[in-house]
Amino acid sequence: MYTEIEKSGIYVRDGLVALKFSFYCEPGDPRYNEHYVNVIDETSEAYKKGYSGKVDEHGMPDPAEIKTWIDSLPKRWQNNPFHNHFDLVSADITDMEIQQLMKKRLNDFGKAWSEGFASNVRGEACRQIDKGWDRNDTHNKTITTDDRCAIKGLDIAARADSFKRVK
Amino acid sequence: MTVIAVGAGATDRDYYLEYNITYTDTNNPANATGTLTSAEFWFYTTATGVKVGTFYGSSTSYTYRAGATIGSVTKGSKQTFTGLSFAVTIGDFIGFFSEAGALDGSLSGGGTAYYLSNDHCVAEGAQTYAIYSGIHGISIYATGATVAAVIRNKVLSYRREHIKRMEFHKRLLLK
Repeated sequence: MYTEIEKSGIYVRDGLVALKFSFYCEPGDPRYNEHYVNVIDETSEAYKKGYSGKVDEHGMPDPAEIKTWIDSLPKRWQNNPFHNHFDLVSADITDMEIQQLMKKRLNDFGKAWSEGFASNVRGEACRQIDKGWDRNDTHNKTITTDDRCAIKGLDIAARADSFKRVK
Repeated sequence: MTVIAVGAGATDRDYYLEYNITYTDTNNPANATGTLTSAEFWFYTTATGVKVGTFYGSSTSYTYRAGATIGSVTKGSKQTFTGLSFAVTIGDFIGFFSEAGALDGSLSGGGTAYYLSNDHCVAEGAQTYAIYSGIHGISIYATGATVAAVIRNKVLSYRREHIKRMEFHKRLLLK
């Protein structure tokens, strides 16, 4: 199992930076097949050409026709995250602290997933968040201005590759 | 602690919704007032710019109450997001917006889906939505806890922190 920062989910909230972690299984991990899925190939010409069937007066596609069109599109295999989690961190967090937090969350959510639970039901991280957003943990002890948080968020997004495949 | 649940459920369904549209779904309105902390989606195509929110109203008039930014969502399986925090009031409906990406929807079942072009997961007054005829249930679901439970947990957290601080001061005094 590994986790990564998914940069589309970075934003500023309550004087902290929200980071989105995505958690993945690898071949051989428990329940790997649940999120290794056959999906439509959005790079295919047929998909790019788009739907050209019937639409209603508001421009909404005809349910039966769009289903037929989508079912006809080419497919490919893809490994999806088994879970995604948002954490609020201080703008002065270090890279080492982010990596430690990612490992901690992977351990919590990965354990729940491996034991057969829905990741959001049993994750230790969820329990801690329900108990007051981990506000007194090292990673989000200090709050600051939105400007500083935005700069930190942009910095992390630009360096998201530094937080790839954290185990 | 009362667990709050809202929405039809994030499952693989037989139809797919258009994007760049805000949707709300009258299936399974919120059973209590509190905070939603987790959201689930099932997209058929990769989604970007996703927001989730709570809506209140009736007939075709709905108002956005609160929500959370999700960002991109992967297609093809149930995607769960935790660490969220947005308000919900008993009777609210779940809704969402995506810049791109088709969410799964059902052609059969109960409830009604409503839609309105562009992003309405923003603070604004009541908006007039159109009925998405033929759609009964969209693949989105959110859970959370009642306000009392959230406050109680926060109080417990502060109390634990206070005890830790007192122990720290005690140790300092003993030195």
